[in-house]
Amino acid sequence: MNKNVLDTVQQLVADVGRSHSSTIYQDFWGIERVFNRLPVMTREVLFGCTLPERRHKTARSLVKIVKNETTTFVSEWAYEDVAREEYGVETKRPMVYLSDNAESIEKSMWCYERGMVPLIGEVHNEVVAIAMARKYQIDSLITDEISLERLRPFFEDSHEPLVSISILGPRFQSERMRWVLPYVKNVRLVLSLPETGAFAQSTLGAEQVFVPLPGCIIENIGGTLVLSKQQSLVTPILRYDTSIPSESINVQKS
Amino acid sequence: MLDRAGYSVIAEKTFDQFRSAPPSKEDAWRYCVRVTSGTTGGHLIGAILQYQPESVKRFAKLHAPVICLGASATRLAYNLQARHGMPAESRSLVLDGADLNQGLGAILADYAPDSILGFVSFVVRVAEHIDKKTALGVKTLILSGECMTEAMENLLRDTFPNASLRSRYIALEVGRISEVSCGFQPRNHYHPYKGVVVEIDTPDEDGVGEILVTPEARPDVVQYRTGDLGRMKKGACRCGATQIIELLGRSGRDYVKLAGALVRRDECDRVAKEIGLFDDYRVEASQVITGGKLQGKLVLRVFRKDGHYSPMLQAQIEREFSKKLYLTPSRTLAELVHTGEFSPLSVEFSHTPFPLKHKEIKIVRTDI
Repeated sequence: MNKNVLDTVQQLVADVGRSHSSTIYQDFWGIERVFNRLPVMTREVLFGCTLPERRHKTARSLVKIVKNETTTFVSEWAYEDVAREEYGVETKRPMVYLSDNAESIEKSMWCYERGMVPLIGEVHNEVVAIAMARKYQIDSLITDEISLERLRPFFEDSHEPLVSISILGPRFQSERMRWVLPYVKNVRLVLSLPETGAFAQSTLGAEQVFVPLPGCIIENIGGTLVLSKQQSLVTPILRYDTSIPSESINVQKS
Repeated sequence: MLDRAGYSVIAEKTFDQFRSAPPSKEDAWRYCVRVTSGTTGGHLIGAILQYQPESVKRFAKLHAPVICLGASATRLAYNLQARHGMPAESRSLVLDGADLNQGLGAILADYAPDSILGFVSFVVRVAEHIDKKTALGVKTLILSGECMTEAMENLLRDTFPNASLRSRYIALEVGRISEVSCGFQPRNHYHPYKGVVVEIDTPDEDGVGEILVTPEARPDVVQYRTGDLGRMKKGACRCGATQIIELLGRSGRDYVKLAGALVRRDECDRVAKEIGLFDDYRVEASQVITGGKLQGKLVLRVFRKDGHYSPMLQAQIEREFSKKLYLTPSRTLAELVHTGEFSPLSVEFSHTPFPLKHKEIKIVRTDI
């Protein structure tokens, strides 16, 4: 584990542990303040409490609704933190096309924070999305597995390969996405969750090995990936159970 | 005068220029890429919207706005302005139609909004989900996009008793047409935005005609035909403004915006032709508040040359028309009825042909 990252995370644990705002962590940790002895935080505990109970800092921010199979909650992201995420690559004419509306807004805001004007594709209308992608002559794409498939006619009819496609998600069926390789110079698979942001990446190739992104610590605890981020987020991610089975993803050790 | 075809040429040219020379990183936030499909059913037009720094000022006093708009790009544009206009340490929440479900009340209670911005019918739908305590914390409603009916206004005032209710008249193609309503005028009355000339095309005896807009900052846009009906009212306002526009709704020739959906004539024509159960039709569209909930309502009046009418035929038309008529890009009338967003279609028979006028109007809004 990178010592600098570990030191920074340990400092964050100390800050969060004495904060008067994000009380959920103190309630959950008890007196423990040593990073690698902290109990693993579940989604139900962290996002089952109210926003003020998990708001470690206040900044100009975006609040988004996160929906998954079991629950719905809100996740707040400071724009300064959105900007630091590694959702895509910087190009001139990016497109954001995701199957979740709230994620589309956030990733489009990421583009703006990085000084790009994105084309945001309408989730339920791939005909319009494809027509606009052609019109804007997009040069990169931030998408997910489902939405990528919807854009297939765009690629099959395009002449210039895109600079990059970043496919976001908690899991990937790589073999189903290989069709896109001839149409793009670089395909990034980005392990991410709406509530944690991005935390590891790989390229779409023969063997997927995910490399933790800078500032991220990924542990394998009890058969699932447990994530910590050194960044002081509105809701810090410290030993967070991603619910992603570790056997399903080949992640390089942090 | 600039009609939609003329606008399309200007928009495409601007779009091409923007594509070849994107703005600097520092200026990127002032631009949005949009598509306008043509609510009239026309071809897709790519549009580049440019915001002036002062356009973010309306967010200057909002600390926790909820943004409620239909298209993703519109939501993004509003959120972008919120991001740059809100005070430090403020936050915004962006909703889309899929968020209007039973969990929304708890989400809003957690978020604790102080303001809501968006399309009137969308905000009315949000009002259905918000609990009393959370609603009391809402101090500002800024509405746009549609004419507001008396029933909608009453519902919003009842739900948000502490909120000032402001509205704006805007059009995607030309941007702001009016100032935020001053509070001294009745609903659907506006003062033109600074630097925007508003005129009425060939007003009738009541002064009503299509609203034409000329934004001084856009020398290429002269007398843009908004497709909205309105009239200029005489007299000065207590706020000091000297011009008052009364917005009376869409000119109603090709489409009607209703309860967050769009009733388009070309779509009605398509379905009428496909099911082939009548020879001519008219649609009467309105919004009703039923049990505190906003619903769209369509009445389909049909005429058959052979004069054959029966309850069985009526039921068949109701069923088939509802099942095939798309009111959003992905949802049919039947689906919107199922979710309670529309009341079931009513079918009435006309025993005489519909009168033919110089311009055949098939869809009429009956509640404004």
